[in-house]
Amino acid sequence: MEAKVLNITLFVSLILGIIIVYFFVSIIRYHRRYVKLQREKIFAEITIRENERKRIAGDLHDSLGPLLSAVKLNISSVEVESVDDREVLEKTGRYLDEIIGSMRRISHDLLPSTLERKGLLEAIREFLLQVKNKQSVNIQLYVVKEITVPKEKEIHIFRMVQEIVHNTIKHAHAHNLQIGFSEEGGYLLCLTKDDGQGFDKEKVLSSSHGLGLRSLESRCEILNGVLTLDSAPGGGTHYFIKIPVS
Amino acid sequence: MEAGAALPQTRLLPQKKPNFIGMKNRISLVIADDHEIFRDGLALMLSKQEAVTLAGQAGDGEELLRLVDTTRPDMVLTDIKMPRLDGIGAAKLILKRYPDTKIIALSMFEEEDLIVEMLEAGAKGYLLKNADKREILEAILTVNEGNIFYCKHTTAHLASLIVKSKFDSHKKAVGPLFTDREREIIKLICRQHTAQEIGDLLFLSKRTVEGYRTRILEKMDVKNTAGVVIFALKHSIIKEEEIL
Amino acid sequence: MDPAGFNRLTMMNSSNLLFLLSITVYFPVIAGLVRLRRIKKGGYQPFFILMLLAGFFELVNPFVLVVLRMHNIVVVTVYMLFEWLLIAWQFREWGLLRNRKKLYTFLVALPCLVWLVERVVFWELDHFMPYFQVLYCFLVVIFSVNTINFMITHDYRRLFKNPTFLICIAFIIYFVYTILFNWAYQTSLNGRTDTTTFIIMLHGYVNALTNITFAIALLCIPPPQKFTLK
Repeated sequence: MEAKVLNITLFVSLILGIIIVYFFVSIIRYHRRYVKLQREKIFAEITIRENERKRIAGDLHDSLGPLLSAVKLNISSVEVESVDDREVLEKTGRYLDEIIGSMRRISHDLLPSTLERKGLLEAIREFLLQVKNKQSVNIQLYVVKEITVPKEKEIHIFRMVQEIVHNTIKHAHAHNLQIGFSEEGGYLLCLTKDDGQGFDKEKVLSSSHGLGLRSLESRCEILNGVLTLDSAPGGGTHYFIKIPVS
Repeated sequence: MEAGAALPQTRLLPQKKPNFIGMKNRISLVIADDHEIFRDGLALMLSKQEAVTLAGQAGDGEELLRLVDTTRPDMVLTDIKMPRLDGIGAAKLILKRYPDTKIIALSMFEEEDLIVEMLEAGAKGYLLKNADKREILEAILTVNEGNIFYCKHTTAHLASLIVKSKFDSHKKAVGPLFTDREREIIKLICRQHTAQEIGDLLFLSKRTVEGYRTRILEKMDVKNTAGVVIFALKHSIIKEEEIL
Repeated sequence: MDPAGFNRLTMMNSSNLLFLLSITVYFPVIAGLVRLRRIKKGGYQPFFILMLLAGFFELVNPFVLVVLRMHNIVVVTVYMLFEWLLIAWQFREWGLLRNRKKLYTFLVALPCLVWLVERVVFWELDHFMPYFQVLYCFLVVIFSVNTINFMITHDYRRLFKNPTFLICIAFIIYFVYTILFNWAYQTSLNGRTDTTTFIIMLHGYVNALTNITFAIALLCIPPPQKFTLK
């Protein structure tokens, strides 16, 4: 009888033990599935957005572009007698030039064609060159080792660099920004350092400025990478990005 | 000039009545562009010009090759991005068969490195598609004389790309010497200042500045500001960072 | 201990209080009748049928015991079988193992087989055998834990007002208790101790708590939405 009691006790304890273990196992599994779902959702969102930008840039180039050029051509072909009329036509021509210039700028902002044609580093160099003369921060790009990045990741890394540079210019009030690229063991490493005023990461994340930071983190996540941010008020800001590219 | 057998896809415009005096001087040219609207406008404009004869239009690189084979024009105005065979490929093939043909590239925005590739492939000049009638004619005439033509809408970025490329941007191998004053003016021209502004900055009159400008253009053997920029970059009169 | 003696023990424990506690079984019935339409649209039918069955059982049980003076083992175990089947059906309604029909059928059939063996092969009228009970309690708890974890990790708004969540919590509490109760009961067959008496005494209270939670859950069922992706 004693043995039977012991048996029953063991049996029941075993049952309860299994229940507890199952509780933990299942909650961990569901959580992981959920996180994966979230990541896929973010990835889909970002991909849709980039595709949209590509499409709009393409539309500008293929639909609006030729029409405007044709209009300019036609206008400059019109023969007019009076000087006033000719001036009107010339002015119109200049306006058209401005429109085409704006379209060029918009298209370039949406999706720099250099990225597709010459790759990531060239696009970044071009971007930095354009940024340099519009404001006062001194930006230096170091490429420690030539990096090769799969095509579909290039646009995201480019956007991240864009975001970091914009953040530095807008918020950091820095004098110098250094950006370094390297590759090691199948990982792309990007390290940026500025001597600006730094910021309190917690505070920024919870305010509206945090949008840019959060998008940085999202992009890094969908690339399966790691983003480390080091910043303190008065101490400059360091970004460190590590992304697998093998 | 041969009109050539009418091929199914190419369109030949009716030829003007041959003008004996002008016949030798008329430049025969063909145009190629995959955007029909622009091509029609260009064809219409060119057909009204006395100095040129339009021998035909093509909608892509392969059509262009066939057209060039049939009509053997003096000059080709071609878009760069075209289906089937693009401008760069077509240019290389055309120049292999008919090395005397002069090619001018037509480009829309955001195609700067393609323009450079066209130049490296043997084009003698380029035009942005928002060029006006005057500039198009100027380009045709300049290239016909054997010189290089840079569109006046050239951006500083494109200029630096050209300078860095394999394209030999100038006939003269050795750069002429410029006085210090001329160098100052060159730098200001490169920074897109008008003659009036340059005059204000250097305490000169507008007319003096224009005189300098003409002399500079002559010395460099270029036609417009774009040419000045490219020359200045190539011969290190000005650095890339100063104009971008 | 014989079932009659066991029942006497429970009835000795302030029979008035126990009586009050036992009529809590009708709370969910009333709540369900109030929300009948929402139950139908919301897919809570098996659960409601279970509540009705429980209410019915509460009438039959004392009738069998007192009026018919029969052992109520058969009634109770048959009721438990139906309880298991209805709960399993409800979980399927909630989406458990929707894609793995074979596994589901196996898990549902297993306790039924054990029940058959217990009932038909071992025709015991003296006392309850624990195997079927513990097995089906264990499975219900596992199902409930699964459903709760799913709901926790999937961003549900206002979890504590979600009827499924509440019902599953009540299931966990009640059936874990039932497992302990079975242990206490089986152990006490050889000799009562303070622990076993205590656990057995809690039966009425746990029952009442569960019933009240069920009633609240039924009242929390939301009105049917026009378009749902269910």
